[in-house]
Amino acid sequence: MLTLFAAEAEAVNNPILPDPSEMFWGGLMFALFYVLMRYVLLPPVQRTMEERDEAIRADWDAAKDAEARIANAGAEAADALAPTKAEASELIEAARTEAEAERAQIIGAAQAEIDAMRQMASSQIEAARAEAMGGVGAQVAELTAAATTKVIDRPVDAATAQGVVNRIMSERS
Amino acid sequence: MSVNLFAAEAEGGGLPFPPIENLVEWPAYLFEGTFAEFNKIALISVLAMAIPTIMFLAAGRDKVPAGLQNIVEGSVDFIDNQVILPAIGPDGFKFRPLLLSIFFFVFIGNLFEVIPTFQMPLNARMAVPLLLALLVLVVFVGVGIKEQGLGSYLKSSLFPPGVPAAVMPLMFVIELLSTFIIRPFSLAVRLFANMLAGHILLVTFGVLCIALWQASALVVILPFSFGMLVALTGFEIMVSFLQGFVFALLTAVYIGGAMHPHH
Repeated sequence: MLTLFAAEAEAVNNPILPDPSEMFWGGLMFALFYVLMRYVLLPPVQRTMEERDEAIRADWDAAKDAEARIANAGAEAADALAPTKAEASELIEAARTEAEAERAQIIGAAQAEIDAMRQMASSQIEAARAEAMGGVGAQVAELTAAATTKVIDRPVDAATAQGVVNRIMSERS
Repeated sequence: MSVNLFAAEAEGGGLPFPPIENLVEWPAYLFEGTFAEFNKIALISVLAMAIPTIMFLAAGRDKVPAGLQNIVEGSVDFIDNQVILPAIGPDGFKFRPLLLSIFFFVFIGNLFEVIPTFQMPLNARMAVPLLLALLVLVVFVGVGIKEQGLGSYLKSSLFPPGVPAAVMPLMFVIELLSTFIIRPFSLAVRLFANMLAGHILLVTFGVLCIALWQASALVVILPFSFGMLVALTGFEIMVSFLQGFVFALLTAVYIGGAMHPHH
């Protein structure tokens, strides 16, 4: 008798079944939370996020504009500098040509001077040599005449000795 | 009915495991015997509404978010990018307040499972999960009727395209049950069963720790049991979040299905 309706008794207090009062409070609180979320809580948060997104987008666009302006300014500066650069190139080229000509002229003049000096030095050397050879020839002829006179015990003509010496020296030189 | 933890100590008393009613049913604080009986579950319902409300109100409105504002805006972003966009698409942003409300109400309600003095998740009782599931049913059916018209909605919901006429009656019964009965039922039971199971697990390890503390010879096992209790507490915080996310995501999936039946 005591346990006959145990199953029914447990079913009434079944902890799995929803409790109406808990449903009431849960439903009331969720409904309140939803209304608050929709009309009070979420709009300012969304507004802040949208304003931030808008500001970021505006800053991004401004940065892209600035980047484009910088690129344009660079191109304009390059365009403006192009004639000046061309003129500078021409001037540099002209200066280089002029300098090259001047250099060639200076080198030519120096070379001519060197050649002239070399020529003059060569003539002087030749003259000195000829003069030296002439002196040596006379002394050799004099010695030769004296030696020959002593060897053959007959006087030798100085002119003859000079002629012989001159012929031998010219053959050896 | 109670179960003794240690059979050997059954005769001597031991520490009885509390009956299930003691784990989930709470006495009334106010209005006892009326339809608005106010107990611990009702108090948690109030707090599950009040805490996120205070969070949203207290969050700053700065251009560079910090602190609470980060959490609030991160939550809105999370619902937008992980729930609304994948499940409904850009035209689902009008359901943002509903999905945020569901997410926060379920998540914060669940978190009371690990808050000392409460230690009871709101959704370990069937009332709120069932109520929310019925609300979701009403919402997605309403959205379907509004977007497609009553006839088209019922046709797209109950008669899937490309099914041979011979099996159409069977499909009608299956779709009727799956869309209008099983969907809300599974939503409610998934949340309720997960939270109740987690709650019972935490109680089990809590009671085990107390029992081991009292049993002198077995006290050496206490650190392991206590470690499990700590680990399960962390796990239940994750489950609380996941259940809020899953409930909101499935709501969005059902709404998306009602809005775009052919997708």
